[in-house]
Amino acid sequence: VTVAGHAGRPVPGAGWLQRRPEWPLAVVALGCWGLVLLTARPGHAGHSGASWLQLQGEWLLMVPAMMLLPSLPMARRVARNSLRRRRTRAVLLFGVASLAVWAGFGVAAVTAVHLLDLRSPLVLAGTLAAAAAWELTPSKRRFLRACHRMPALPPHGRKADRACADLGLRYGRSCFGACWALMLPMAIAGHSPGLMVLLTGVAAAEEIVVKGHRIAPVAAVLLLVASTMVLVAG
Amino acid sequence: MNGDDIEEGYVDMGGPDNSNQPGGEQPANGEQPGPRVRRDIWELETEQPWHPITLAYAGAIRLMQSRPPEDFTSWVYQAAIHGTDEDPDDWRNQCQHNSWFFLPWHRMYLYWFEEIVRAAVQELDDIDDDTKAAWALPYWNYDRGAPTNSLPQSFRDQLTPEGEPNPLFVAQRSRAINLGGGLPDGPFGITSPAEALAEPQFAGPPDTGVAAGFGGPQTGWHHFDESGFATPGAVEQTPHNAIHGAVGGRGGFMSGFDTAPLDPVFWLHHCNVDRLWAVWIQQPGRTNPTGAGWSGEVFHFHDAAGTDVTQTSDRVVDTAADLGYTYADITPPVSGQEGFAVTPSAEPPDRPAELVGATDSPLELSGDPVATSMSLSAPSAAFTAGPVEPQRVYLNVEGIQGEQNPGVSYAVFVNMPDDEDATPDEHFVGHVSFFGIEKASGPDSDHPGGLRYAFDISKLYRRLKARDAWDEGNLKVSFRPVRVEMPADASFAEVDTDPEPPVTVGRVSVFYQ
Repeated sequence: VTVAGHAGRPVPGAGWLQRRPEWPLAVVALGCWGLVLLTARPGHAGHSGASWLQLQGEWLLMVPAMMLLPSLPMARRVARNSLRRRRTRAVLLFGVASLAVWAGFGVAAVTAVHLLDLRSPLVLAGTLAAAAAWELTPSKRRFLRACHRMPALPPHGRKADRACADLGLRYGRSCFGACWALMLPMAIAGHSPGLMVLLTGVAAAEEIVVKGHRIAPVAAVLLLVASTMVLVAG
Repeated sequence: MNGDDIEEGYVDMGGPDNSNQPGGEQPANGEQPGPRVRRDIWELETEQPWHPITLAYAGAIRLMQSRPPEDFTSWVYQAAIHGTDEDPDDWRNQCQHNSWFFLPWHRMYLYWFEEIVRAAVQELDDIDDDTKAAWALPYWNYDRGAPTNSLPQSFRDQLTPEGEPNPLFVAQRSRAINLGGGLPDGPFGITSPAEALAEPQFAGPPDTGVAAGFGGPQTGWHHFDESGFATPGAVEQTPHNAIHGAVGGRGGFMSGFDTAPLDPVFWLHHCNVDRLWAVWIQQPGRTNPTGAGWSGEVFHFHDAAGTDVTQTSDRVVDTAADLGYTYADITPPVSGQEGFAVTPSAEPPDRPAELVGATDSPLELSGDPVATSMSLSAPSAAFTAGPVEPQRVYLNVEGIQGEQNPGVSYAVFVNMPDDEDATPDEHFVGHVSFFGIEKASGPDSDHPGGLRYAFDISKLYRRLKARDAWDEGNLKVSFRPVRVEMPADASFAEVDTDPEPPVTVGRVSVFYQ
């Protein structure tokens, strides 16, 4: 791509990257997926022997893998609404802040699962059924709408940094409100690639497709099917 | 209704091959009737005060208002199709804004409303047969000077000629409008569609910071702000949004998303916006969108019998052939401010727009002229080794929030000289107004990101640059209120002295492309 009317040699790939300024988060997400697949263990709820620390580590790997992909459109808006020299910084601040919300949730959820020894197919099936029910609530729709909020960002300095981080926290909270029920099964199942793909697909479809709430009934059915499969597989 | 058209409970309307294609009553001799004609309300009013078409409209509204809200053909339900706080379904809360569906969706909405009103008119005993046969929704062309820029008397009278409460009157309007005040139509007034009609492209790209063409940006289904980047197209900005606020005033029906269709003049205003689409498309080189992105989105309505019907944008582009109506006048208007800020005719460059500057702090608009300023950075040279001169320049006004539409618009200027005698038209950008602001403010609102406007100021940029009046170190953006003035004969008691509710602008920004 060149700028019409001006001599100059195009920089290979610059146009592609300029159209996708959210690429740093995509790289992080894909890297985490790679690590998850490398460390995945077979079966649902199959990590009953893992330590608390190990479970937290797995959670911190799963969250960027699963939650950064649905956030890419918002990250692109953050970048496009920032000065070019600040784009990568803005995107990373936004991404880290939004993941901090999920990290906090992970500490609580994984600790509860660990202490109460909730890693059983029955509990996993129950949380998937609960996620299906949450899909159909007005609250879910309200949180999904809030995920699209894009406030005005200051252009320079610490004000800009703070605004990007604030936006990340706010987005993370909205995203948590919309998707907490989808992530709860992951606190029980650990690195289960099949479940991760399903739940990431649901979260991404709902946040990326403009009329996301229309997907909710389909998502609810898929989650119920998954719940039944877990029960049957026992 | 042809039974073959019915599939899975829906009736697909539109298209010349549809045997039930609307176009008026089928004459007994089988000859195809001509399309019905939508006429200017002021032409009707001039012909005869309380013209039979107007009287029939009032009678039909009275009948629709008597129907229970759950009746698909009731007045309340018809308004809820546009917007409602209740849980959405496929029929209610469906209006399309800040989108290339703005024009086609409202054309469909008007069409089915007109069908329902036409059916109601047939039930009125005091309406003559000629009026019943010819009835079509009037439009309000407010851009023909006084008195057409004021509301016709039949919409301001509290009683009908028979002495009954007038369904065309609502108290929830701007007080000045209901007293006969005129919409601002002078320099930088809000009635002129000239800037919009000069837009060569129907739709803008789905991108942040860029202007949205004549009809709106490319989006999916888009009630208001689902995409997070979309801005209104030029005709949605002015006159559409601005007239909504001016007629509704502070918190009146026309000022709010969910209440606007409860004012009978809403339908005449939108009929005029629909007419402007017909004016735009007849200009040389203009084309409507094609392709699945535009024509694939299916919208749901109810016909006059309450049957579910579906329609798509590509089936409503030709009003006569597809929908059976025409407009009495589709002559392009002549305007003194035509084309000052609008887009150059060439297609925009194929690369994303880039933010080069923005204000650092929010700005409050509370009814007085106000200005802000910013410095611009040099655009990146990421694409080339050479210097980059923008082909397009856009001014954005973002994150606009407030509790209530103040009923006033603001004319926006760039680098306006301080000299009061200076001619400001070369610095004019466009209007910012606030239709839908109640949906865009507060964390619990439907679309809490705030309103956003994007103006193509490429011509203005080149003009100021040529005069060395484009100072990148200090770009000044000014806002001047534009409001309906009270008529000169209004009494002191009638004058509204309450302060206008403030509106906050999150930032003003400049994008290069």
